[in-house]
Amino acid sequence: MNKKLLLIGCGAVLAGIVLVAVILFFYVSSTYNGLVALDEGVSASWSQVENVYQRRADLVPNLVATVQGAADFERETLEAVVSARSRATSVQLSGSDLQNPQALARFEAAQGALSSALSRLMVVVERYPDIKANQNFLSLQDELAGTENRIAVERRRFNEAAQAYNTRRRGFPTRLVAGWFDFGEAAYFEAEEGAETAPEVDFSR
Amino acid sequence: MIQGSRASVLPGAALCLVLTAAAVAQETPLPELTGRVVDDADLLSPQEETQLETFLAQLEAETSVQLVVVSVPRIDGTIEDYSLRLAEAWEIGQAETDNGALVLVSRDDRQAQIEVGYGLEGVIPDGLAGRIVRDELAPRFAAGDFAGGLGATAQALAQAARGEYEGAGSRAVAARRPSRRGVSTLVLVGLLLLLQFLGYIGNAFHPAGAAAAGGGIAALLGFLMIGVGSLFWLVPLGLLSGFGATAFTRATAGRTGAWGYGGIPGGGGMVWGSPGFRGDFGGGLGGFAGGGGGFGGGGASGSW
Repeated sequence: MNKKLLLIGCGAVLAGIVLVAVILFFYVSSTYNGLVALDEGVSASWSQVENVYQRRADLVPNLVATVQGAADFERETLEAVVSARSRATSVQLSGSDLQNPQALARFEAAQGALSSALSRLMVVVERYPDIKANQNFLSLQDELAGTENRIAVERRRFNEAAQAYNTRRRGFPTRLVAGWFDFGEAAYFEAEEGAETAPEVDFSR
Repeated sequence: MIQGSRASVLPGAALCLVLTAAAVAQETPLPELTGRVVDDADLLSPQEETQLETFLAQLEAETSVQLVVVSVPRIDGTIEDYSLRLAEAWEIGQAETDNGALVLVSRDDRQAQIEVGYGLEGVIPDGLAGRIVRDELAPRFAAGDFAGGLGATAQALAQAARGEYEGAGSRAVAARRPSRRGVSTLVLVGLLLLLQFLGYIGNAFHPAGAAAAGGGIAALLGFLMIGVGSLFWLVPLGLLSGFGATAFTRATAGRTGAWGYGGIPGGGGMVWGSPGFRGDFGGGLGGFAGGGGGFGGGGASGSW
């Protein structure tokens, strides 16, 4: 009787150990795979970000050519756009840069310079009714606006992916697994210029 | 999103409420997707609405392209943000081809936006969308002809989109969605029955071992189906109820299923955590719903 109980006890302990080991293995591997999937999500949304910025860079030569066609268009503005474009396209980030806030800030600075050069160009165009009536220019303007829109979308999605990854990475007990396997923190895009200013409130509504 | 230490849970919760309220107040609520034409700004008469609706339904039946026309009285913020939020919330277009588009009109702002899904960006580039707004919509709207403007816009978009994709149409998608739920429910019920059956057999030989194994297996299954988070409550719950059931069985000298008791909490976790029970109830049950199409901010806006 006593011997039988002892046997059952030993069996139960052994079964418990095996169970815990199996569960631990499943836990670690699924956590690891989950982190890998989220990390891949960050990389995938980064390539989307690069795509839309590239799309904007590809529009610039056409835009410049169309505007240049109009007589005596300000040269400085055009040159500023062209040089900002070449600087923006020269900053490319690779996988590990996504965990480096400085690299991301460099990328943003270069793209931001192109943004402001382009918006200056659009302001100057306002003074040229000929250009503004040009179908080709109107269509390029739509493409540019749509591309800026896509950029905003992909930046937001990148930040969402980075946030999902970082949140999982820092949570407990996932952070232990993240620490063992060297999962770094993903960097974020800063808020868009002007996004931090409060929206106007109109009380007349 | 907002994390507070244990001492500051109450202020944290209050802050959370305030922030949520502020966020809700700041964002214009999205209208319901009641049909292919959502005329919240009352630009169309009922007949005009039906006519447009019929045209759009025919477009989808023939090409599987989902086109939705929305009018709202006004928008706080930019029309680009708002229309993307709408498009993302409604998921217009088929999931496989992302072939949806949205025409949004903000009456008091005198602005309109055509939002183009990923799959249509090739046939409706931003330049074309902008031209449609400028040439078809804006002149008619400026003359007060809302029905004509929306009709011409829909027609132009349909012409642009036609021929791009000839798919199965929305019915195939609508029919597939509920069936996924059906399958997962069937599998779960089967698993529960299997556990119960094994429980009776195991219980006859070795109640304590059966209880432990039952609880463990249920927890493992639940974990595999739901994910990591479930472990923390499924394992103790499964083991506890398994052993509890055994103790109860022993005390009463009965022979009823320890496996079954251990299996139920884990199985319950599986049922509640399975994708079929967490949503997917909408879609395809009569009426109109988006097919799961994706948007990336393509399209163009204009004013009249």
